[in-house]
Amino acid sequence: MRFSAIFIKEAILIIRDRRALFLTLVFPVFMLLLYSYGVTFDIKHVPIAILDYSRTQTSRNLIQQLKSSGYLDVDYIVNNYDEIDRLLTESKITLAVILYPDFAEKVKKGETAPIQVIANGSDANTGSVALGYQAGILASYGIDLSTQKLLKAGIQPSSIPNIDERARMWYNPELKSTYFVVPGVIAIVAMLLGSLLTANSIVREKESGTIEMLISTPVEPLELIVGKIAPYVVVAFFDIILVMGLANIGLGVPIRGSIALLLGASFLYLLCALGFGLWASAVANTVSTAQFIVAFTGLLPSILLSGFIFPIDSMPRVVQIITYIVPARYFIVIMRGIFLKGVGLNILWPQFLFLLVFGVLLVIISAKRFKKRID
Amino acid sequence: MQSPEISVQVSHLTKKFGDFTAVDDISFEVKTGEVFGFLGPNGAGKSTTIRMLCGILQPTGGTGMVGGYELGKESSKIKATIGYMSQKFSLYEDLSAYENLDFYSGVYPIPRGQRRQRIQEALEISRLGDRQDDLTGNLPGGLKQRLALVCSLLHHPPVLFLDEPTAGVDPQSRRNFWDLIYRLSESGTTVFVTTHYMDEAEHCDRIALIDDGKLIKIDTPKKLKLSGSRLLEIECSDWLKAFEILRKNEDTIGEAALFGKKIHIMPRTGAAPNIDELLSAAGCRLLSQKEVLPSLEDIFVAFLRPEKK
Repeated sequence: MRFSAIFIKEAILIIRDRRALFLTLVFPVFMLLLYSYGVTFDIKHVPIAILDYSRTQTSRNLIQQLKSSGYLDVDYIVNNYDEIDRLLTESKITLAVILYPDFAEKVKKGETAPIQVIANGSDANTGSVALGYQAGILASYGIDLSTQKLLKAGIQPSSIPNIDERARMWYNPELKSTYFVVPGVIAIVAMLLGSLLTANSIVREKESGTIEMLISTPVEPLELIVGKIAPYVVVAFFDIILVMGLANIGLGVPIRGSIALLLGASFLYLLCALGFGLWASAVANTVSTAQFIVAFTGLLPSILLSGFIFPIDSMPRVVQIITYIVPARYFIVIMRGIFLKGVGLNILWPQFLFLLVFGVLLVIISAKRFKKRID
Repeated sequence: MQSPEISVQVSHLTKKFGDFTAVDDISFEVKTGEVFGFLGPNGAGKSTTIRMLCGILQPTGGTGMVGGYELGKESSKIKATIGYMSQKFSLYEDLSAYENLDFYSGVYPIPRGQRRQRIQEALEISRLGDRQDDLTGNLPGGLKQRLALVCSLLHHPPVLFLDEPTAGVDPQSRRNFWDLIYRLSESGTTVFVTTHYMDEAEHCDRIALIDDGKLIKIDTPKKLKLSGSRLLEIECSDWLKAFEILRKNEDTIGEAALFGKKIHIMPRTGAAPNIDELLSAAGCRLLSQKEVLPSLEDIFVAFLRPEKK
């Protein structure tokens, strides 16, 4: 009865609190749309400039090749080096390609024709991807040239030994970023709701002094904790299902594995999030302190150290070690595994085990600490 | 065992926070149905004592009984026996008055069948009337205070603890509040109240003076006043200037305090009061001079001052 009184009270407070309502209903959808449409990790239409000293049919052919790729936009054809300098400084272009006056001549003679490419390293990610694109385009142009030359000499190019690479991208053949963003969004939404809202609701009682009144009543600490947290579990679960449903039906992200397993993993991950929230509630006396603690222990690692945006493999060793205690790291592996690969527990059990152990331990330790504070 | 006439009893109660002793070896008894006042300056240890009695804080030392149960060992039984209202009123501002009552009626040990009736009763006592569905945050201070009180009364506790219940409430609401307290006391509820308002202390059956965590004196307001030495109340022209002069000569004549336009002097024993001379030398004229019974405030100040010096 005491549990239900607390549960009902908390539920009314959630509905009355506009900020909480915004966080629970608008934020997840907003995050999903933002990351799926707005923040695309696909790099297309990279602006480039070309300085063509050669001005020949050969050089124009090359420019045409660059243009038709779809990945690079030749926005500027410039006449001198200073202009390239200016465009790069103003970040108008990511890449500049410079063709020397002897370009066509060297190609004709069958010599190696050097081309200078300058990339804007201030946006290292886009810069290196763009470099990759142009390298690919130039290589295929080079092969075209060789083929033509061989044909002219009467040699069948197919008679020359060659390695033919046929790469296929499994699980996400079109490399749609939505596909791998969705698991990350679920991880962030669940962490945010699970940790921030619970911490908010508990510390608010400390701030307003209602907790003291509650402690003076026969309410047991465990009843208080569970009664307060339970409504947020319901809300967070609703949101997880909302985001998954929207991703699947609205954005066409496939769910190739078991839905029950998805929900099970979400529950374990939510346990970790609640643990962070409870921990912050035990330590902090004001809502702003609690939010700060939650942001640094729960939320930021889930975004930065989970492999959601930055690949863990390319992090420095020390940072990689830290990622082992970030629950989102495991959760995202599980989500991507179930969503895109359709794998099950036989493969994902280590991640499940970590979430289970981490979540249960964190909740127990935090609840104990919280209980000690109010006893 | 505790006799039924005594509802709160503590001996050598102590609470330390690290090196700081908030409550220092306090012993007292509160009779059933009594309005017991705990009077002291801010930080004297009033709230800490009340929190220990309510089972919110664990005492560092000493023993006690509340409502027949042992302090620190039978916390849950004590919690079911007492009502507690803190200075912050402890209401959920985003819940309506009715929802607050509904919540607390679910938290306290009240048989389910009686909940509606108790809430109804609380609404009547608090005279919330048509504002029961307003958000608590929008209620005026006086109503909030009454609501907080009836919330803590829902389970009909035999012992009620009030921690500075009238802080920040207008005089009319304070009066109404005290009327309620008297009615509770008449019906046999023990009321333990902390305050630093002197006029409120006068409402109590007995008062405990507390300072720096130590119990200084316990008695009825009347006896406390009689126990103090008589005061000299003087009226004179240019009272502000006169007060300054007397203040400067406290060492020879005794402590002076302003009381409206009058000046109260607590004569120093053995010192010959040459007040008249002092004042005329400064050009102030003494209008009247008489002995009066000290007010509680005078007693309070007199008891606290020597320790601080």
